[in-house]
Amino acid sequence: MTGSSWRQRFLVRGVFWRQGLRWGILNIPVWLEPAVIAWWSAFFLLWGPGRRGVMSNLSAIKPGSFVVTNFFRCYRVFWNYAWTISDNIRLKELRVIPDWEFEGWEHFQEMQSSAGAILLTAHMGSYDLGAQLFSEMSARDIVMVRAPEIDPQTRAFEEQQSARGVRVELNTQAGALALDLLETVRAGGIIAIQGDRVTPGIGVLQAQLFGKSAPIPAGPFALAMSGRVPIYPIFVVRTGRSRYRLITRPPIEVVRTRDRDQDFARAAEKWTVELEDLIRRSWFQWFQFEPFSVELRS
Amino acid sequence: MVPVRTIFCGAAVVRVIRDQPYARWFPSRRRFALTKILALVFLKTLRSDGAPAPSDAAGGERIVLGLDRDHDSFEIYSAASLHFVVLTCFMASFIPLPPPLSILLAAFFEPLLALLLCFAGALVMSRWAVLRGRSRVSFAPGNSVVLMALAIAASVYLLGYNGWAAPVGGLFLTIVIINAIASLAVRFLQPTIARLEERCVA
Repeated sequence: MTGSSWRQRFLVRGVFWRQGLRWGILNIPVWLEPAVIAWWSAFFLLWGPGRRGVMSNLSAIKPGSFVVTNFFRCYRVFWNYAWTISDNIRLKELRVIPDWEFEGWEHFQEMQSSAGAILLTAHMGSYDLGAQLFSEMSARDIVMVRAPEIDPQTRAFEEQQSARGVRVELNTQAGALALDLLETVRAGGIIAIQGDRVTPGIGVLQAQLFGKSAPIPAGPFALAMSGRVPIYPIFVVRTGRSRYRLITRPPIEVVRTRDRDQDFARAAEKWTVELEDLIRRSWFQWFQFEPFSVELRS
Repeated sequence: MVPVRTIFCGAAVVRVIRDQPYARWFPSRRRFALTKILALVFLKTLRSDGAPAPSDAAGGERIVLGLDRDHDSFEIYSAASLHFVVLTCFMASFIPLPPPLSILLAAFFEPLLALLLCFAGALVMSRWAVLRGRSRVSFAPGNSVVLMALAIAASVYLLGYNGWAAPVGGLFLTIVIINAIASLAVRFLQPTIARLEERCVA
């Protein structure tokens, strides 16, 4: 191991923190966790870029709010994030399932009975816990598309820990992956994609979020149009300690007309309306650590 | 109203209950005897009024509840707060600064000390397990016993320490004693609890 890769372990996205969390779940008494998580959430406020990212997003979600107020809100976001990733590790290591409530059950069932669907979600609650739940409740093939971890050691650690019963694809090779996903969705599978953040190199659509221009991934909409399948906005929201709510919203149909750009824009707008509504209600668990709009970066 | 035993994640068996809101009050979803007794009282009250389960009344809200002993937030947050307060006061009593400052300083370092104790506990227990030819991954139960014993010892010290922290020690010890009595009651009531839980999911 070189000196720089050793140091990288301790960066905020390094593997040290993931291993530390796993160690904590296995060795810290469950009744001690609130104090420990409260402390570590405060410690991670030292992570400047992440803190500033969350605070700038909050300034758009809650316009006119004070910087000090957003600082404490930022702590609440970090606190929720810590609990969410802890619940995720607890499920994987100790098989402790959190409590689940379902909102929009009829849409959820509709999605399960449909011949293929796109599950569009956001960086809220736990994506991994949701995937575990789906793999348990659904007889369909589920493919989770996600951005890879920046740090290679963290990536290897996460691959080792990934949800069983769910196929995970990384969105690094967009072209080849698109064909594979199209085949899956046409065969009746469900593709889960996060639709609130874009990674470099993938196609984007420009949308409006909280009055700011925000890029969202074009992939889910293109896939829905090509595969002629609906998009189901689904959100996993943490409602308390070891308690989650799975919210399924009415499907978004991407109808093909002569004006393809307009079709995408309409579908993207429906998605951002749902997303905005959810984030406004549950801002404290939108785990978006970078400004969502270039306007906020400046 | 379907109780299920399901294979989750394709590996271990996890007990869950579907669409039974009363199951939130199952004593088996609690760790400490005192909260088990409280949950039993709630459950009996809910069952005795003959009203349908809230999910029926609300038109079938879907829920899935895990059945393991760490699901009660009230219990976990209360235990964490009590432990934090006792150890903070204990540490503060050794800091040669006036109380508001010493408490703040101790409160900052308390979670770190607890973490350090867990680390030491896990290290010792893992060595012990290796010596005995056993392989274990989780040492949380052992650390739980050690940290709770330390908190009891700290509260005994605080009670004898004639200062501002004595009531904290007294409160903690009182709760520990009530919990010990409750654990005897739970042992006695175990068949009733099991019957009631089974009736709820039947």
